[in-house]
Amino acid sequence: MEESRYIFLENLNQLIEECISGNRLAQNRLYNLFAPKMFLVCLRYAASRDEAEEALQEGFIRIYTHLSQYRHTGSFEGWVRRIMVNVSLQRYRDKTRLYPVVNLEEQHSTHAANNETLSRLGVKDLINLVHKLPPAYRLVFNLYVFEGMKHREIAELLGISEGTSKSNLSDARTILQKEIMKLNQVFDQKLNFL
Amino acid sequence: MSGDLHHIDDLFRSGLEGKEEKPDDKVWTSVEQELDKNSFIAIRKKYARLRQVSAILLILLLGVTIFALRTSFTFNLENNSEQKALPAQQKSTDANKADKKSSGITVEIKSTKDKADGLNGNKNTEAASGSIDNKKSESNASGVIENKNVDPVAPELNPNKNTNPATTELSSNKSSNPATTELPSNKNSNPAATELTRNRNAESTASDLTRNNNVGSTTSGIARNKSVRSTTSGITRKADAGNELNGNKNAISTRNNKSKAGANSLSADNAATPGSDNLITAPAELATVDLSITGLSIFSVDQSKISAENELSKMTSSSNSQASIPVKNKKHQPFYLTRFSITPTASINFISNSISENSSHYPTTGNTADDIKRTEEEKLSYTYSLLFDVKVAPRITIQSGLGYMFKTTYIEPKEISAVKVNDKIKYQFDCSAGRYYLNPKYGTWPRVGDNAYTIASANELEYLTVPIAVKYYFGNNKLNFYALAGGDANIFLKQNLTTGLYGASYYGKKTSTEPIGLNKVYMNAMIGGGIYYSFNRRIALNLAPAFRFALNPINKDMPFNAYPKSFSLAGGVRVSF
Repeated sequence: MEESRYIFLENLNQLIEECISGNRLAQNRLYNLFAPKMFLVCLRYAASRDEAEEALQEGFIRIYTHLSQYRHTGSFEGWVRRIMVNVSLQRYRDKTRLYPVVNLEEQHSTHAANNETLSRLGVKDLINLVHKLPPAYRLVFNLYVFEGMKHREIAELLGISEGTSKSNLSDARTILQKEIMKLNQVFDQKLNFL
Repeated sequence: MSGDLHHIDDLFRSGLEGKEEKPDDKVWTSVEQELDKNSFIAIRKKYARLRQVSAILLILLLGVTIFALRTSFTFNLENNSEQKALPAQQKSTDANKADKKSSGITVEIKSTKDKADGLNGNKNTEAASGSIDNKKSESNASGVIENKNVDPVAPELNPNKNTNPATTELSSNKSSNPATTELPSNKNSNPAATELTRNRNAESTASDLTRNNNVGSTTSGIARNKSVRSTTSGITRKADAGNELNGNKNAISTRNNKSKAGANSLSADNAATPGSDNLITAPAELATVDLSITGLSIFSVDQSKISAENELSKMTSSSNSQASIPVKNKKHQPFYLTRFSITPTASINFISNSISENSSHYPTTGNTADDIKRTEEEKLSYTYSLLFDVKVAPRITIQSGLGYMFKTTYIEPKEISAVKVNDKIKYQFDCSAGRYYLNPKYGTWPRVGDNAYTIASANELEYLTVPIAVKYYFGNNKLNFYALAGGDANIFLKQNLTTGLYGASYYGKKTSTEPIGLNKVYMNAMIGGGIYYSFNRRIALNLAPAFRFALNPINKDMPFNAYPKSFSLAGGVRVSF
């Protein structure tokens, strides 16, 4: 699998050309090459696995449709990732309004997570934690943490104020901390049981 | 607390960044299906171009067929008329041969005139046997006219102009040869010539071809004409075309000498008369013209001096124009239109839209005129009509009828927005043919202002057309043309939009009989023309190009107005009653 990926990466430009010409086999190869990574991106933005799969599908359709617009400048993976993020954002715009839904006072009373608990979490656990965020928080958290965007950029992108963006990020962190603490308690109970 | 929160950022970044998660296999299956749908639309676009090319080729083929049919028909018409005349000539030739045999005498007449001589020019054997060569006949005919005026031999038939020594020669022969005497005297005084003229005029149709033949056939005509034969005493003549006697018309004397010798059969060749005082220096060549001679006295006569033929040629040439009258009349029959005709028609319409901003429409939602211009492309449109024509004047008809027209517009992928309609939020899809509202079939429900991307779409419109036009005809009955001016009313029947939204939240065909933003009727002005090729009085083939310009926009209450204009090419079959 790794070897074949290496070959594909070497011939990425050729693979792109094949995809533009409508070669279904090449399109399948491109999908296999980027789908696992992009699926995780979609999972972070989606509320569920099903939604993430829908976003992934829509994103790949858009990639194949607009592949001829790729200028071969910069990372192709970055271009693909950007499309996935845009699709996810569009889906969230279609789906919900961006406003706070969480009582902040309640959230501030939560305890901090300890390092031991964090080290036990795998990818699925982390994704599940992200899924527990309200859509608006999840969006801001993803854009800030994973896309590296500033609050000003996030505010412009989502059409919200910079303060709202900061507030949403803070609330997202607080919720995640709370969820991590809950997980910590569960782990502790399991250990005690054993 | 703050440090813990940032620690969470790092936790998630390090825990998820660069990691992978395999999606379900059904995702790729769905992607494939979506790609197939898109390629289906792309294929439809591709085949639409193929249809255009096929239609153009079909029209060209139709044109070539009409041309070929017309050419073939004209050729057959001419051949038929020629063939009708030909047997008569062959009969006369046969009769001449029979006469020849019965008399057992053949006189070969050498031409003393040059080839320009109307009676001598191009007299070949084929011509004598009745072959047809209009060009030859034309030149011969003109030659005959010249003979009438300048041929020094011609006066033989007209003693008053008898200045040629050859005539004297011949005259001397006349004294000894009754046939010789008979010939000029008959030509001058015998009513046979008149009779011949009458006969020729009477047989105008048959003589039409004879007239067009060269001298040989003309001679056959003479032989066929009993009165002429009686006048010329049934002379069987063999006139060699292109013979040159070097101006020595004394050759006749040679022949005459033979005649005097009482030979019942004479060689056709002057060279066979050695010792003659007046040898023909040029051998007999080329074509011959037979003149039947029933009399015993046989003589050689310079063909140019056979004024009977000259006269005949004169008559022939003079009757050229007269004889052609019946044929011309046949071709130029008065133009005739039946009072009523029906024409089933199929037409291809090349449509384009003139899009302009609608200044009276203030709402800013939906696409602008520029968006429509950029994203839409009109494809071929087809119309099937049943048209009828009612004659109102000898060359004018009023045309009307019923037609079914449909047209397809391809729309590039574009961004559309969700709007609130009747307390429901739907995606608004604008095109030149009005507006559609799309409901996502599954997935998340849109909110007002949300955007979605459509795949390539196709919009189909169906109309009932009612044309009315005035047609003015010119041309003849076989091939006539017309100019046309009028208009048509297009009554909306149905519209279909085939589109989809990215993400498979919508894909399908939306059909509507209650259009939104579309006029139920729009009017066209129409100018054009056409050709009718008539196979007979009842059936005619019709080819009709026309231009149409919309007088009112196809849509309404939209930010833009769309005025269709089209060039159509229609083909049909007219059935007259």
